[in-house]
Amino acid sequence: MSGPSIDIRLKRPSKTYKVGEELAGVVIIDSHSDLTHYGLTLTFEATANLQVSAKTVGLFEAFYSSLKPIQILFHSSELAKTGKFPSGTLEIPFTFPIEPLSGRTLYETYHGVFVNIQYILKCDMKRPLLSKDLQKICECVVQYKETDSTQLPLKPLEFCIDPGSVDKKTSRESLPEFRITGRIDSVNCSITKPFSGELTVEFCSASIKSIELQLIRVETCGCAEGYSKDPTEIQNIQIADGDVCHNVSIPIFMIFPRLFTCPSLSTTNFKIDFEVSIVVLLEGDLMLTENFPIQLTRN
Amino acid sequence: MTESSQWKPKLRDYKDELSHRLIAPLPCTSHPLDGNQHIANLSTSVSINREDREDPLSSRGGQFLDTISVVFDPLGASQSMDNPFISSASLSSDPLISALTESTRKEQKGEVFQELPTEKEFEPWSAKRTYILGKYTTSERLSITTSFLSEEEKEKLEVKAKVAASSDRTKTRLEQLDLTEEGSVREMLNLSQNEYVKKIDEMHKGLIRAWDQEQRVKCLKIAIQCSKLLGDVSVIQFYPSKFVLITDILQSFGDLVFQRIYKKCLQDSGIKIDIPPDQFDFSMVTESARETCRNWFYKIASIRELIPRYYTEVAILKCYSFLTKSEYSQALSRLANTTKGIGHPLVSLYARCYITRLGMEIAPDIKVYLLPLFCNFLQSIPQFSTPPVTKTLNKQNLDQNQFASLFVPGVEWILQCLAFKANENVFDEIIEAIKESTNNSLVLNALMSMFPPIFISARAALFVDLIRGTSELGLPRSQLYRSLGVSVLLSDPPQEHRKELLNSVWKQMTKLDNPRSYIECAEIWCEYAAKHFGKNVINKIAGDVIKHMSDNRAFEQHYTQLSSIMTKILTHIHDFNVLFSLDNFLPFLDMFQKEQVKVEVCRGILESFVKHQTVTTHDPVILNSMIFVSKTIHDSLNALSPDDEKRQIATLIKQFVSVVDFGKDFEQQLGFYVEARASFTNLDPVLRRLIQAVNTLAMRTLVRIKGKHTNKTVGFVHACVAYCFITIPSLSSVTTRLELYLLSSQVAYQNGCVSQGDDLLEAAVQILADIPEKMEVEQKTISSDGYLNNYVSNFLSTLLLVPDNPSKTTLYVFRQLLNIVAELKWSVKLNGRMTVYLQALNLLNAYAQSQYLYSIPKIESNQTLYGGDKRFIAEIAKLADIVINEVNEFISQETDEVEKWRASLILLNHLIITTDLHTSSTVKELASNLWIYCKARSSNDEKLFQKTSNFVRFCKEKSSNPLPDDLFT
Repeated sequence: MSGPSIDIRLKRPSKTYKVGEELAGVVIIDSHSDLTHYGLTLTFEATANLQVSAKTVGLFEAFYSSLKPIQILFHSSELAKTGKFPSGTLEIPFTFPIEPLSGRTLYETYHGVFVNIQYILKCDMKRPLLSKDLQKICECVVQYKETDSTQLPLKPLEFCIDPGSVDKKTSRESLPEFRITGRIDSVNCSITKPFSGELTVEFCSASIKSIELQLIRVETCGCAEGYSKDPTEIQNIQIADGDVCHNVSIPIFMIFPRLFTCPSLSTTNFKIDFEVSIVVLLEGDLMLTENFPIQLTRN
Repeated sequence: MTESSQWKPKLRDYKDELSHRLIAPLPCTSHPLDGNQHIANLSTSVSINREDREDPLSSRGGQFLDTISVVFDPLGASQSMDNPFISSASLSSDPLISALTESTRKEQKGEVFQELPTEKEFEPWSAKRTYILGKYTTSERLSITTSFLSEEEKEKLEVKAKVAASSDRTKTRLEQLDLTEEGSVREMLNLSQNEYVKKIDEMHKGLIRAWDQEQRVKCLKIAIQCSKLLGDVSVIQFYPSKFVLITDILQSFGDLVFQRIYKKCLQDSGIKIDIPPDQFDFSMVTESARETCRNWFYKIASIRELIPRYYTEVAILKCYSFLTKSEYSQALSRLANTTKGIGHPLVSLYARCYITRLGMEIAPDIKVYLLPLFCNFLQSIPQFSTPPVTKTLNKQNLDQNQFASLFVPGVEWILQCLAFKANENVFDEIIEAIKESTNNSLVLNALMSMFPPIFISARAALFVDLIRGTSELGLPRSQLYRSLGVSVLLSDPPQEHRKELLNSVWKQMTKLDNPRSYIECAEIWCEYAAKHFGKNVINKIAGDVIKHMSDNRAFEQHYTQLSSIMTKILTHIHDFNVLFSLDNFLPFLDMFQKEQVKVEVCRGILESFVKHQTVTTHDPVILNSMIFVSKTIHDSLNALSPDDEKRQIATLIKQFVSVVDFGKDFEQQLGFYVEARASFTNLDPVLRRLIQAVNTLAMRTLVRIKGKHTNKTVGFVHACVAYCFITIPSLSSVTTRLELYLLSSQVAYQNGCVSQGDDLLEAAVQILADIPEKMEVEQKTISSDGYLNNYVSNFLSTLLLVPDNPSKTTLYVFRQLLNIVAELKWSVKLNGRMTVYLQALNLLNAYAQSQYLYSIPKIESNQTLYGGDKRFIAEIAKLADIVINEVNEFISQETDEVEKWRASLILLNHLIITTDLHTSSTVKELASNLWIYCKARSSNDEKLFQKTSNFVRFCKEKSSNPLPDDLFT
């Protein structure tokens, strides 16, 4: 027989809330017998966790200089004082305003490598000796209000990949003849809308194996001791497979993943930026890359 | 019995008897056999009429049915000819077939998915699927890459791992670890097609199992891995079948996802009853269901590789209905666009095919994405010859044509989707697109077969240009001309273009070197020519076909097509005057040198002739040709031919014979019958018909000369009778012979050929004994008594007309007949033999009259021959005595009392009618005894006895020749 359990259920199945909204839900206590406890508390906390990458500042420093988490929101509430819950299922409703601590601003939920912004609901039940305390953690997703975020104008971008434009690093002595042109509908993107555009292989003397779209985050963590800036890949989406037709426009289309992307962010302590790379793989493992910084917003 | 005869004939006043008839006769307005006319097709009524009138015998033995089988279906032959679809499907006992039947079964159960019931003209995917699975198979080795193995497979690998050498221990250990962990990818090489199909099927089952175990992620993984296989073109000729099998899995995947979200909606909104999805309302979608759905789409959007991402998203396309208000069009356009990123033309085509299939299923009215999609495909055609594609082809030893054939089902499908409810504008746009891109035969052919023929027909000239412009690669041009031909046949092109079209196409066709390609086109275009043009064009075309087919005896290889051409010409040309006057018709017929084919073709001609030649003819060209044709068929019959076939052919030939009419030229007509007899010796029904026809001819002669034969006509009629006399013995059926002898003898007497008539009758008497005891009528075996009774009665009636042959004894034929009858074996004595004897008694009475009941004008019957001569009467009386004696004998031998009584009563009746009871005392005594006997036992059948006693009373009181008063009191 399973022991007593607690669970947090938010009113919204999507667990997604806007800044300024009220987080509402219930704590569910399920027990087959009467449940004695020393208090039931619920906390709602948001932190930005930063970590300096070992690559840029060295392992030792990274370990010590991992930055202190920045708390941006904290609420606590005692749902029940010491007492006893009757057997059965009990639902205790709760609400929290989603508002920052004074002097802080709220950021959107973001899961990255060096930067993590999380909104955590934690429910703790203290229990008498010999019984394990019960805890339940639940993450919710917080987003900016559409109206709050600054609206950036659409900024289309034409690009052309040819031997001349290729990164010095990847270029070799014997590059094939090629010219790939394209257009990105806007480098200022709304996070809720797909990243789109098109691309045309005008000519290419080598056959193409694949064309991929790489979504990259660039996380910068900075403080007095130094800063690190690290690009890492979030996802890779193949848009062309095999030797595609020449002079046919191939759609560029990518949906920004949830949690792993957020509107571009720049604070005193850290920065989150995004880039998209177009990677063309040619026969003979030759890789051509073209990189485009993008600005994400929510609207 | 005393020596001198006792019997005295009763003198009869036939006129008086007629006036006392109990039932007044009514004039008859309709022929009793006319009813059959309604059964048969009206167009054949002419010949059937003849059938009924001239051949009463054919009503025996259920041969009526023959006339009905005249109505032939001209399509019947071609239908069964070759359906590539069926034949290929039934040929191979392929696992694909079983896979296919299995999933069809599933579909029927509604497990997998239901086809959207769109319009009739839309061939559903399930049909296509069967076709593809049947056609695209391979004997190459295949490989599969998957992490989902069946349990047994795992065990096998584990066992293998155990026996592995110890040095490999770490490796095997790792392998085992891999096995326990889902998601490790393993490649299985060297699978046969069967095994491959089995593996795919396992994955299908695995997917469903995973779903049932709520392992959604595993389920998605399987779906992704399946769709990944579609990017693999290593065994390319199997690709279409692979596509079919894998999309089946994806279908179930999409269906499962949809069902789950759908059920979630119902669950969350607290609806317990299942609402069918078509009544589902967007407003019913709950927030949590929408979230689940969104999660699926996010998950799929992050799939790295293009092909799996595309296929899985299309598979759950239906779920978009949970997110937006059933607005698929955007999603369809976007996904259709995505396929442009697929480099391999075959892979991209089938990817496109998949989305149109889903599109047709969930939103058949949305068509915006179709045309761009099709244009994209057109753009991908140059990819056929890119280095990576050609490399794979070379590796697998495939040429471009074989490669192109793999595209056919996909292209056809997409075009069919486009054609669905399409208007002409769409069609024109497509043509424009085709013109702009590479003019590919494959596309052109699919276009012609998928769009309504009326569209194509209206632009036939344009199509000829397009076809001419196609490259040699892809489908052969002949096939294109063929498709075009089919279209213009189904829908006539505008009148003014018809001739030009034929000319331009035929000009191109004659350039085809390969006889097969040529004849395949010609097959279709000959029909076109036959449908729209007259004699000269057809003749020219037939000549061209002969020219092409005669090289190296090419016709030997193409009998099917040639006979099809013949059938088509016959379908459209019904005037046989025209047909046989074509110079090239008979040479064309000569090309069929294989016996069986030739017979079939001839039969076709004969059938068509019988069906369409509704007026009589005596055209020598037609007759010669038709005799030749019919004889060819006739000669093909042998002892092994089935009865039914014989009967059918006989009917056809009979009908042919019926339409021949030389009008007043009777001699030629007889000449024709002689020729026909020589040609169709093996078919009894035909000979029978000929005898009938000749008899008719003789009678027509008689009518024509108004009953007065001249020297010339006598000779002719003799010839006719002789014809019958020598033809009848060759028939096998005794009854037929008997009847024809009788009939012919009647005709002979009518025409004054007395001695020939006698010969015929004697011949009949001689074979009377050959009648089998049992005979078959309408599939039932019955005793031949009834038949004999009828026949002999009829025969006896005829004898009244027949004058005695002075060189023989009096009533020679009659005596002969009675002798034979006495020897016959009767199954029931009384009813059989007695009736015959009593009829004979009746005849004897009729012979004895001074004025016979009937006679033939200008033929002296015994009435005038003997003029009531006493010796003649005495002869008759002698015979009558014997007859009465015999009958009496029979009665006395009868053991059944009731039968005996009834027979006595019958004899009594006959005696009253035939015998002068005043003078013949012995007979009078017999009659008196019979009366007493019958009266005493009248309880056997009161009614019957009452009738007799009434008759007796009538004869006593009202008859002009009353009975003696002292009798029958």
